Amino acid sequence: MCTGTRLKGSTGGSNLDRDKAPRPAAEYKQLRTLLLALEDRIANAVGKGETESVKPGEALFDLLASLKITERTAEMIRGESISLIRVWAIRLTLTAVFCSQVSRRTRPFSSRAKLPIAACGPSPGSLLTASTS
Amino acid sequence: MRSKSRQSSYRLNELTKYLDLAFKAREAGHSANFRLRVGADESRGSKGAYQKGTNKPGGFGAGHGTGPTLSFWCFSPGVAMSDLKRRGVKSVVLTSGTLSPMTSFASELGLNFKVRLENPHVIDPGQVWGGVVPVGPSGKRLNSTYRFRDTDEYKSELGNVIVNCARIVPDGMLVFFPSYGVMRSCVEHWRNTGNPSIWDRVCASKHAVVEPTGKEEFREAFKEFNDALEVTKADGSNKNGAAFFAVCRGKVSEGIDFADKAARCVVLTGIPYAPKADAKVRIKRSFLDTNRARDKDGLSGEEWYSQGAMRAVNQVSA
Repeated sequence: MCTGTRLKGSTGGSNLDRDKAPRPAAEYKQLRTLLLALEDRIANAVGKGETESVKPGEALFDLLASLKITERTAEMIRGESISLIRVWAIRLTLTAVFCSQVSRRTRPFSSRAKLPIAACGPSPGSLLTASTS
Repeated sequence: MRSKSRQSSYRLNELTKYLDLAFKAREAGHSANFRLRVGADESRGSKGAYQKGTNKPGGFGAGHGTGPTLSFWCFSPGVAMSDLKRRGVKSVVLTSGTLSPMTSFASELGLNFKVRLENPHVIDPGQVWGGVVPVGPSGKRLNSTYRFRDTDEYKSELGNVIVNCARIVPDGMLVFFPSYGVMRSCVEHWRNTGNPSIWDRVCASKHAVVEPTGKEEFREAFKEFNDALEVTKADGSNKNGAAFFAVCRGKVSEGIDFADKAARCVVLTGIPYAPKADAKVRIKRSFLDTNRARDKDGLSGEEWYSQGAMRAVNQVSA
């Protein structure tokens, strides 16, 4: 399945944005898996019977690094333009709607994804590829 | 669907921004000034950290999902100042009526201010009276601590003190409370206590205005207060001026000049200590105590906590 729906004039993206190659669904799936893993790490950071966990600032980078999110890989997200990000966000939503229509998904994105900020990205596949290489 | 798309793009921008800030802070060697907290989001009020009307944690569940929130907080203002220094800023001029004590301020900012100027107050000491009122008209103790300030006895006694002040103080009078919650609770109690009520007795001497939380409503309230100050005393009326009921660290206490007859009397009903149970306050105190163990010149958590409250007091009375 390809999610690279052309969004002619509806997103405000430039011609350059629209000419970009469509992203395969597998990339979004990978990114979603990564974000859900991050969500689980956060949820497990607070022990049973406790209400919070406080650690030195460096612990954030350990947490991100455990998911292969480093300064180098994060740059791939950072370097993209806002318009591109918007296009990908819409594409992701379209994917979610399409998936629910064909009953391939059992629950909507928004019901689980506590981190919708990261539910889309400029090049999730490249992010993962770079981090694991 | 469209709104969800916008929301997602906005949040992705936020994520990239925060990742960028975090990695930059680390690169600059500031990560020791940060703390990573995972827990309920207290900024969401009763929906988040605490059950409504209690101090018990209400667990997670507000906002986007059912999990805890990750926070990456900076506890040293020196981080921002060092960034200015790194960019080659030649001079930094810091002016405020509430910088004192300056040594601890400079220490917190991590900059050694070579030129320091501390002026005396513009009002001559002989023109001011400042004092502590420990008991009310019926001899009951005025104790504004967390446990006592919600009792009817305290609220009635405080109300009677303000009634008496309103009778004898000409023109404008400012009454400050530690928080909006305490102010609302007191005003509500005064409206429903006594015949005539305490509130009616205040209003017999002053045109009473209560500080609203909204910006637009505040403009109207401020105008109402100033207009009331200009009203000439009517025959047979005891009303003389206006009283503004406001909160410390609020709009009235910061940045507004109540000159001359706008503030002939300032009543501070309690010291505005920050809520001790608040996560940021707890972690900041612990952060400072840890640093103090290494550097004896730095502020301790307790010193920072007291100074913050005293600065808010200065802000009110300056």
